[in-house]
Amino acid sequence: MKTLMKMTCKSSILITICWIAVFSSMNLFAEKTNSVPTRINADKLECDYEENIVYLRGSVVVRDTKGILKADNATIYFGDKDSKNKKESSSLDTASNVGSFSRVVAVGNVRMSSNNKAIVVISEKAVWNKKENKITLTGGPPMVKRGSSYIKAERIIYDLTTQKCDFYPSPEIVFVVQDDEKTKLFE
Amino acid sequence: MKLSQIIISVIIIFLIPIYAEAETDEKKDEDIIDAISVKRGITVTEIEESGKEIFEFTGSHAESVSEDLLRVHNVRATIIQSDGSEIIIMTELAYYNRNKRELTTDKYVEIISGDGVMTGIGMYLNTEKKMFRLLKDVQIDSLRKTDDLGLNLPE
Repeated sequence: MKTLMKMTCKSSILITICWIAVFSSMNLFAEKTNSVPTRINADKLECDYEENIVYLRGSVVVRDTKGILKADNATIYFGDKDSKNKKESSSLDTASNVGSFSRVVAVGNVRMSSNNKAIVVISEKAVWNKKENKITLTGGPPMVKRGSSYIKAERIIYDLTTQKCDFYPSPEIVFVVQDDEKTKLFE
Repeated sequence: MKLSQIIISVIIIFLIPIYAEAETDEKKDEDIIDAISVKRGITVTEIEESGKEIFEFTGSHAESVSEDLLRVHNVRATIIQSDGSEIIIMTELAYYNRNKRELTTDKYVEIISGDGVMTGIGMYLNTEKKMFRLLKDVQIDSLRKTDDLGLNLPE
């Protein structure tokens, strides 16, 4: 039998603190040495090599050494569109250099999970802004799940640099505690 | 027979084969235009008005299918981007339409870029619109530096 504790917090700050506490012991950092492979699969691809945009259509799957991202469709933007002079951007920031994207927008049934599937992130849309080094999740509403426990909000922003998550507005956290864990908790 | 008549007859006798040869050559040209077959390699280059090379492909051999359409075997195409970087496309068979500036294939395609390889079945490339499509079973393999954070999900 499971005990369900449900609490709704108005303050996203509190949720953020909880989130950091839950995952603080986990390995959040990628290895800092060699290059690692990333594999992307999709039904179809369209590349506009003048605008430096790649459109992936149908059953998009991105496999990284750290996890998997799945979505119905995704768009990858290369180069810095905000740059006043296009020549300012590196010559590598073109569609010819797959790893040099500036922004990735995944839309439709977005699902990110770690390799052991301990943590699953679900949303309708995910925007990975490389300049800010943040992933913004919206729609669904977005939800971060671990087992039966989850945290959800109208918007989730994951900062890859600081390794922090912000859940706002209307954050909601649900912890499902197993009986044996409950006993340990109360002891 | 007068001397003048003999001279005219001789001229006509000599002119007949020359005329016949010219007509045959013309017919040969028509045949060549109808079906050109290049057996020892083909290279096609697209150059912008500015003189800058924007696209080139080579093939081991090729045949013309129609006036504008060329069937090319063992294709290796290179897209030269505005910054000079290259996208290399390889496939065993493709059709090039010089009017529409399109390279199409329904075969397996491998596209090599700066740090990765894209593969798929079937391709449509339009060098005028500067875009290409992979039509089926797309896979992209790329390498990213580990200090460049990936999905980086907690385990």
